[in-house]
Amino acid sequence: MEYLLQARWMISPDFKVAKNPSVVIEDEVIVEVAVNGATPSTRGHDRKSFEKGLLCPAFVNAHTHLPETLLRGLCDDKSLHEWLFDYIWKVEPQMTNQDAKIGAILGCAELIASGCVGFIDQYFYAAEIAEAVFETGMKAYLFPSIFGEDTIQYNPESSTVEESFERAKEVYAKWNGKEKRIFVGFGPHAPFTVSEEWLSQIASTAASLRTKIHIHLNETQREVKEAKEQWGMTPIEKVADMRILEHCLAAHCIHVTDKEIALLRDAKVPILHCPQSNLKVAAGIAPIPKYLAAGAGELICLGTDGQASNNNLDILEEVMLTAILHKGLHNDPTSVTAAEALQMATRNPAQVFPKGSFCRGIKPGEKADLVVFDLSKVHLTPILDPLSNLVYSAHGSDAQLTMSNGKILYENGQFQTLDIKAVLQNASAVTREMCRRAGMEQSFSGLK
Amino acid sequence: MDLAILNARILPMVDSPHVMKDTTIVVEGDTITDIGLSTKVSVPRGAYRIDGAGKVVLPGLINTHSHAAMTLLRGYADDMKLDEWLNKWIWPLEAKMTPDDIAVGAKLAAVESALAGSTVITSMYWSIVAEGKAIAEVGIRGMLGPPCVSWRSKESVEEAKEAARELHGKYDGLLRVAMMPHAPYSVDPDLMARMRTLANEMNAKYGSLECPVIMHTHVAETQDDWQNTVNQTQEWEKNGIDTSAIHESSSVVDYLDRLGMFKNAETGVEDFLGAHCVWLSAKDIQIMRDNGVHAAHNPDSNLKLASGIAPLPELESAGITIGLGTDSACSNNVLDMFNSMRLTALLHKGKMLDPQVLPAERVLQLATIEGARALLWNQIGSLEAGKKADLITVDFRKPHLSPLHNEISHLVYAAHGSDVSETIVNGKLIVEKRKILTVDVPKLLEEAERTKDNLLQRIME
Repeated sequence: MEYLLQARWMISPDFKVAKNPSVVIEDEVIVEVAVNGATPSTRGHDRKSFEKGLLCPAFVNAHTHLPETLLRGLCDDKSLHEWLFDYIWKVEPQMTNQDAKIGAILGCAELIASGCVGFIDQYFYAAEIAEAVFETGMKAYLFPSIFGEDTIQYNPESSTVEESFERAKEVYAKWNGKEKRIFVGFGPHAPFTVSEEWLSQIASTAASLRTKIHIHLNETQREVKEAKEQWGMTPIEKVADMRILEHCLAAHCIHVTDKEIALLRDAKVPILHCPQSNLKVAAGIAPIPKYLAAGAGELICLGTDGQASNNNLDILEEVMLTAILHKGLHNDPTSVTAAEALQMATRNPAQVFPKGSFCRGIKPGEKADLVVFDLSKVHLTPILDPLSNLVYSAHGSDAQLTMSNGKILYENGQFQTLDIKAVLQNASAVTREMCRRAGMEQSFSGLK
Repeated sequence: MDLAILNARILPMVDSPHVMKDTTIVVEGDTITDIGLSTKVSVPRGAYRIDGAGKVVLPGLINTHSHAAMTLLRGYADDMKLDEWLNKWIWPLEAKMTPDDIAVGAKLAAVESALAGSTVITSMYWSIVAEGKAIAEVGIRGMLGPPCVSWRSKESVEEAKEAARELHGKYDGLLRVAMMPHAPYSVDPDLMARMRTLANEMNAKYGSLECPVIMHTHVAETQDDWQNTVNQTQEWEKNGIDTSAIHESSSVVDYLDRLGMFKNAETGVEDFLGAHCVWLSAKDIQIMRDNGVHAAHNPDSNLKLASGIAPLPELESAGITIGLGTDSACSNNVLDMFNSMRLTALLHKGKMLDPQVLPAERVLQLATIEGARALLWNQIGSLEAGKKADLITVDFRKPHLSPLHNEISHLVYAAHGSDVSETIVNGKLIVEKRKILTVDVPKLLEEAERTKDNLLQRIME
């Protein structure tokens, strides 16, 4: 594939705004970038011009449970206990592998339509998610879920811990490194759901296979309190004590001390930060300014979490929230700039993917993972600073082109790699059935 | 022209929010005349039919606090504290704005609002008559008033009278006027008291019980608001103004109460809408409750301008009527009430560490029926036969709105303004399939860019 993309503005690798960019793409890679209206040296490529387009490196959703799209809006505004025991753990165990595949494709559609090319996932049915990623042309780092004995009865896919670990290894064997778009690690849920023995074994396997583990740490105050009671240390400290912190991607990390922030920073642990979910389930607010001040800013990656606690996959919403939340919380309008927040959705999570597999900035040699936002819309006019318009005014739905490895996945509202009508119909149908099997038909409204 | 939306799901927002399925809603003139099962409702001959398949219909969202023409300043002066922002950037630039500039900005605001499903915009701004005309041209509703400030005391009063005379109840009832003293730190006690009596006068002259002239002011937006008010007293005293009311008071709310600002003494109606209401003590909340003070909650702006987080759950517990607002496009930076709903539903859960606070149904009420109550605009805010036809349709046939467990959940936790398909105001179709029918949008966008460029040029000079 050979393209010449021309836009009005571009987010440069140092997160400034460049004018009148031309980007030349050959095969899967950016080969040339010209700015200020300069003509690139290559010619004869398929040209696409975006008159009021803002060219940006593609987004990554750094913490998802993708098939949970099927649970979108199943239960909100309830206590954690009710949410889990009366809703999620009634319906989710009924999810089949076919359901999961459809849920994953629906999630891919939503991500693609909002400028996201990659995601970092922890869930069951990782093989099916991998298929969805493969078919739609996206990229993903998948971490098959592993839960311990205490909650195994809610696991829709496996009936023992051994089984889920074996499955995870199979997914790794089949899918890791596929077309350098799909990568696989292991997803032991959290130190309070997976035994120390298992956690140790899983981490050791991950290390020997040169991959990572994706784990939830310090998400709630209760979790931290109980960890201290059980082990005399917090979940982060426990994982550090087990000498496996360096192998981790850590989701949430909300209730942390300065010491823990330093531990994470020194072990170069990507922090998968989900501000909307953290608010919605009342887990708390992670101290992002502290992470930035401690020099851990490059590790912060934005995620949406699952669809029963957000409830959409729009990363730009997380970017905007990150840019305004801490200003209000600390009465400091300079806290977390728009550029800093944008990095957390682009360059930072791109660095979690193996080098050379995901665009880390628009420059020659990088993979052509790009999104063009259409700034000609009413709510984006007038334009004083395109970066400000992107962060404080735009939505994912303003994406007019989404490209992965130089392949167009989405253009002007049309999906190129999936049949959206079929996806929506299938999602509705399988969700209705899943709720019926759970004895929860009344919770599903459906749409004609 | 009569309208009918057929075979849709309808959220009338009457009593506790519930969804009516397979429903048809009929609009005749500017009024809703029927809502019921599609099999039972008869559609008038010649009515314009809108297919409701895949759509949810709800009352238009009501924006209870903004400054419309500031769309021209979208992205101008981000990341600054309120008083530097106001004094160093905003007010100097606004001084260079002409009524024509303001008309363009207000038109853009009205178009943006309509496209995002807002059928009412509350605007406190200069050249408000020009704003009003522009908003009415687009065809949405406005609750409007000029900001009244001490350094333009006489002009402020004249402009407020002019606004009431030219706009209140006009344009088929689309526009209403409020008396809008800017804030306690920019309006001396004499002018503040004058604005209260002026509201009573204007209401007597141009208003009615059904269409009152109300009051709207910035209340306790930042932690420094009260101190800034106290700091002003020295200068005001020099000009012979009696500032004893300020010295006797301990807070913004206490002071406004002392001046008798909260009620129209002639009609007995409690008609005061305070914008922001962030820095309130428990006592302030009590005073507000006892005096029927309404609040406009603007979470996006409060965060972005680093003002803080308003005590919304406490205001709710006290039974205070609360509406939602976007504030200006310069401190948000959009006029999208779906964003504001989402943030309202999420923020307080996280702050209070309670996932049950402000459920989606309640937030949707704040954005509709409660907003109407906050503006004392009783003919809108819910879909009922006999009420004015202000409604929007949201198209749910999108990946991020699928599958559909719960319509209300999706509206608050997943949808965007860009999911709005139709917007109807006063029975008139303003937006159809996401196209504005009343304005040449490409021309308007060009005009907005040009106006912004000229404005920036003028400040350089």
